Amino acid sequence: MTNKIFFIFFISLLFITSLSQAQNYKLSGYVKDAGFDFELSGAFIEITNLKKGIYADDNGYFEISLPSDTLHIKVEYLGYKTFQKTIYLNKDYVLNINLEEEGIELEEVEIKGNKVNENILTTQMSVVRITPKEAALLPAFFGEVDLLKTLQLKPGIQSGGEGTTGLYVRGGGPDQNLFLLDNAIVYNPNHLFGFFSVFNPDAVRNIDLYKGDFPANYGGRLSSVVDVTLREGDKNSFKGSGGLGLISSRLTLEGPIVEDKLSFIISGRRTYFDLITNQINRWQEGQPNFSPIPAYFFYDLNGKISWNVTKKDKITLTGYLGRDQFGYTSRNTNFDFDWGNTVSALTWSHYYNENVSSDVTLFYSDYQYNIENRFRTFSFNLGSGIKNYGAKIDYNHKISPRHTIKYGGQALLHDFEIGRFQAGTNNGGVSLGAGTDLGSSEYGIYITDDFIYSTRLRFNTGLRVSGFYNQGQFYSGLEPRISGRYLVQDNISIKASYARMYQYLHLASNSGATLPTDIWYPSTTLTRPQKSDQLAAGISIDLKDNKYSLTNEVYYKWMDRQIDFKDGANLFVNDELENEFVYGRGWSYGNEIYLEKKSGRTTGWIGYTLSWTWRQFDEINDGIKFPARYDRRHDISVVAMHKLSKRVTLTGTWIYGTGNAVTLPIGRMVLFDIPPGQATVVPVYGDRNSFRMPAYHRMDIGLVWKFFRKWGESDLTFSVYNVYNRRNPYFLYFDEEVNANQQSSRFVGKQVSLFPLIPSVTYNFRF
Amino acid sequence: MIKRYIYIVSFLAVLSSCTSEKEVVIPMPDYENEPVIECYLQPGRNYRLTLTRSVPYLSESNISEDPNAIVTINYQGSIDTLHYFPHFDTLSGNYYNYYSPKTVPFDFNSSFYLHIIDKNGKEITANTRLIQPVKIDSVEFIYNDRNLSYPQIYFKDNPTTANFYRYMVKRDSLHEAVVTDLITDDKLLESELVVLGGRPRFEPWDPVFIILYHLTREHYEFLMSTREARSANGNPFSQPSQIRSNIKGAIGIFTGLAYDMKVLPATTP
Repeated sequence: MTNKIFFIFFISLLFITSLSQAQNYKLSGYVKDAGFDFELSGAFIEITNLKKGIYADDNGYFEISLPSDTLHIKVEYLGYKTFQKTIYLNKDYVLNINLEEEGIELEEVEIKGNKVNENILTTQMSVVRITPKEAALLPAFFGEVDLLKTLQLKPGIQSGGEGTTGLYVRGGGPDQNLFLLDNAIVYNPNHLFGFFSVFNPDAVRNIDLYKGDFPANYGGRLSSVVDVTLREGDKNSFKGSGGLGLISSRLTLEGPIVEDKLSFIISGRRTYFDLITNQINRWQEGQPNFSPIPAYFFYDLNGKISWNVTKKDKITLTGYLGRDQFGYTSRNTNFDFDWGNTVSALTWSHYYNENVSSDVTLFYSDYQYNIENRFRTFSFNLGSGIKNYGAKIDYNHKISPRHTIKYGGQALLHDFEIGRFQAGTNNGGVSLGAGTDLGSSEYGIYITDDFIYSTRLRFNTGLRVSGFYNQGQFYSGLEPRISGRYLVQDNISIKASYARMYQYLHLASNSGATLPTDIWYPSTTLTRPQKSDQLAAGISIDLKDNKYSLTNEVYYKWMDRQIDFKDGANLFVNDELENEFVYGRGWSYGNEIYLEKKSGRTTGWIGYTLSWTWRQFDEINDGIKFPARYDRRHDISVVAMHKLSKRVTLTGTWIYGTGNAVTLPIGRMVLFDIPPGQATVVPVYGDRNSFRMPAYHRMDIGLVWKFFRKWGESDLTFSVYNVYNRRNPYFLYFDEEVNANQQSSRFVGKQVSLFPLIPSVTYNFRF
Repeated sequence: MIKRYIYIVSFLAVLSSCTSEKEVVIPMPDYENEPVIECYLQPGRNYRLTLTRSVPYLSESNISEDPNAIVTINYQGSIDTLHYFPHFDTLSGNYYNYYSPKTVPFDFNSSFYLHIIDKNGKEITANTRLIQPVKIDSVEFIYNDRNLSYPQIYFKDNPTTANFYRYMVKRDSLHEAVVTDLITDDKLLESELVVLGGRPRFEPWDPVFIILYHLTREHYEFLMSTREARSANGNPFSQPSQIRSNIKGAIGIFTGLAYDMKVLPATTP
C-alpha cells in the first residue's frame, strides 16, 4: 500500500507541468531511411539561405519556426545522399524526407568536407549504435542475424562464451545491463539459454548501447544501457518482409490503417526444433527402450501501432511476447519448462513548439519461468518471476541557443516471485513448499543541460536522483553525470565524462552463464544497492574527409556492494536467498580503440580493447582480489563488408579474446564415506579464477546475394561460422581414466568445444 | 516427403556432432599435500578414523597415508590414543587406518575433542557431539508399471530445530553400490511427517537396505560441499566451491553418526 501511495504521489508530481506555446509558420516532418523506413535521428536539416538548422530528434522528427520566405532546404545524414529542395513557406508545411543510402550506385562516394559528423560534435561518448541493416550483412550463427552479437563486435563489449548473447560491458556482469524496448524493461534478453537474443531484427529500428557517460534519463543498472527502438509501420503503403532459415522463419507485415495517420507493424518468428524432434519421436515410438527426444522451440511476436493524432501529437503502442518452451513426455513422466518476457509500452509524444517537446510513457514488463515435473503420483512445480508497472515522462526544452535542457522522471512498481516451489503426492502424503513474494518501488528524477559554451567547448551536465523502497527500507542516491567536449579542430574532438549509477535490483546467478532460472532480487536492509563510478576520457578523429573515424577511450570503473555467493550457496529453492549472498567490490580499467571506415565499397571496423577486471570479497579467496571470470586482457574484432556489385556483398569478421579466468582443482583426495564403502575421488579447488582458458579466436564469412524482382527484392545470405574450424574452449575439466580392471590409471585435463565450422543459408524477402 | 526428413535428420546429426572434447595440457601450480580426515563417532562402536593426504590433481600417485601420526580423542578428560591399524569395516565396507579398542559412549551431551600431530609436526584439532537418531516410522513400496518398486519411508521431523537427513537405499547388502542417496535439510518440509522416496529399481523380493541418517549440520555441509566439488568438475554452469570442513589444520569431517536402518524384502504389487 505504501508503495502505491508513493507511486501515485510521484506520478502526480511528474505530470503537473505547464508550458507556453508560440505561434509561427512551421516547417516540420520526419527524416527516414528510404529503404528500411526507419527514422534517422540526428539528421541535420539546414535552411541554407537563412543560415539556420536543426537536428532531427530521436524519432527522426524536426520542427522549426521560420519567417515566410523562399527556403533552400538541405538535409544531411552520414552515409546517406544529401537531400535538397526549395519551397516557399507561407503556411505551416510538412516535409517528410526519405534519404537514400550512399554507395548504392556502386561508385565510390566523395564525402564533402563540411558534412556534419555528430560523433565529433556531441559531448556524448562511450555509445555504440547499430541498425539491423548493418547486422543483416554480417555472417550469422546458424544464419540467425542477432543484434546483441553484433554489439559484441564493438570494443568494450564482450561476449560471455561461445555463441552466446550475454554482454559484459567494461567489467560489468550480464545482470548489470539495462535492456529497454521502447522504454519498457526487458529482464531476460535471451532465447535458448543465451544462444539467441529476443530482439527480432526485422522489428527493430536501431539499438543504442551506452557503456559509460550515461545520460541522466537512464538509471538502474551499473554497466550499460541497451536502448532498443522498434520500427514504426509504413504510413503510406503495405509492406512485408521475412525469411526462411535453417532453424527459424520469420515474417513482418506493416502498413497504414489510416493513410499518413495510423500505421501498424507486426513481426513474428518461430524455431523448428520441436517439429523435427517430434517427427523423429513418432518414427521411433514403440521400439524397445524408446526414449523420446525432448521438444524445444521459441517464438516471439513484436507489434507496434503508431498514430499521428495531430501535427503535434503522436501515440505509439508497443507490444512484445516471447516464450521458450521445453517439454519432455514419456509413459510415466512429464517435464515442462517454459520462460519468457511480456512487454508493453504506450507513449504519447507532444510537440509544444520548436523548442519544447515531451514524451509520456506507461509501460509494463513481466518475466517468468516455470518448471512442472510429474512422475506418476509425485509432482513438483518451480518458478520465479518479476513484474513491473511503470510510468515515465521526459521533457526536451531548448531554452536558448546555448542551452537545451532535458528533465523528467520515472516510477516503477516491482513484484517479485522468488523461488516458488511446491511438491507433493496426489494424495497429500508428501508436501514440500517454499517461495517468497516481495514488492518494491523505484523512482528517478533527472535534469540535464546541454550547454554550448563556445564553438569549441561544450558541456553536458546532469543529475539524477534515484530512490528505492522495499519493506520499510528506503534507499536514495545522487547520480551526477558530467561530460565535456573540446573541439580541437573541425575533425578532432577530445572528450571526458564521469557517471555514477545505482542498481537496486540484483540477479542471483551462480553460474558462469545467464540462465532462465536466474532470480531477480530487490535491495533489502541486508542487501544494499550496488553503486558504480566511471571516469572516461577519449579522442574522436575523422580522417580523410570523414571517410574514416578513429576513436580512443580510456576508462576506470569502481563498483561497490557487488554480490557473489557463499561456497555451496543454494539459489534454486531458498526462502532466505540473501543469506547466501556475500558482498564485495569490483573495479575495471582499460583502453578501447576503434577505427571505422564508413563509406565506399569497402566498409567495416577494427576494435581493440585492453582491459583488467577485478573482484574482492572478504569471504572468497581469503579476501585477496581475483580476476572476474570475464576479465579479458585483449579483445580484438575486425569486421569488413565489401560490395562486389549491386547484387553481391561479401562480409567477414575475425575476433580474438584472451581466455576466460576459471577455477579448476589443483589437488585431489579420496574419501570413503561419500557414499559409504566406496573410495571416491574429490577435487580440491585452488584460488578463485586462478586458471586461464586458451584464447578464443574465430573467423566468420558471409555473402549476401540480392535479387531484384517486380514485387520487391529478396536475397540469399550464406554464412560460414568458424571458417578455419578452430576448436575454441567452452570449458575445461579433469577426467579420471580407468583401465580394463576399472581401476584409476591416470588423470588428464580435457577441453570441451561447442561449435565447429557451420555453414548456413537464409532466404530473405521484402516487398 | 521422405527426402525432406532425410535432410532434416542430417541437419540434426550435424548439430549433435557439434560438441567435441580433446585432451589438453593444463599448466598446474605447485600444490602442497594436505591431511584428509574422516572420523564418524557411533555410540557403541570403536573409535576409528581415516587419515590420508591429498595429492596434486595430475600426479601419478594415489593417496598416501601417515602411519606415524599421533591421534587422540579426548572425552570428558579421558584421552584415548588411536593407533595405526588399516582395516575395512565388515559391515559398511569403509576403510579406516587408525583404531582404538575403546567404544564410543552413549553420551549425547558431552563434547569429543580430536587432536592429531601429523608426520610433519602439524597440529590438527576438531570437536563434535553425538546426535540422536531419527526413527523410520514405516516403509511402503511404490510400484511403476513395470512392477519395479522403490521404498517410500515415513518419519517425523522435529519442527522446532533445524534437522539434516541422509536417506540411503541399497540392494542385497551394505557393501553394494547405493541405489538412492538423498541428502536434505528440513527447510522445505510443510508438515511434521516426512516422506522420502527413491528410484524404482527393485524387483519383488529383492533384499532392500534402508538407512536414514540424522546428520549434524557440519556433516551435512561437508557432504554437500564434496558433492558440489565433484559435480563442478565438468559442469560449465557451476561455481566450484571449497570443501566445508569442521577440522582445523586439515580437510575432513569429525562428527557423530546416528542412523536408523531397516532391511526388508521388496514386496509384490
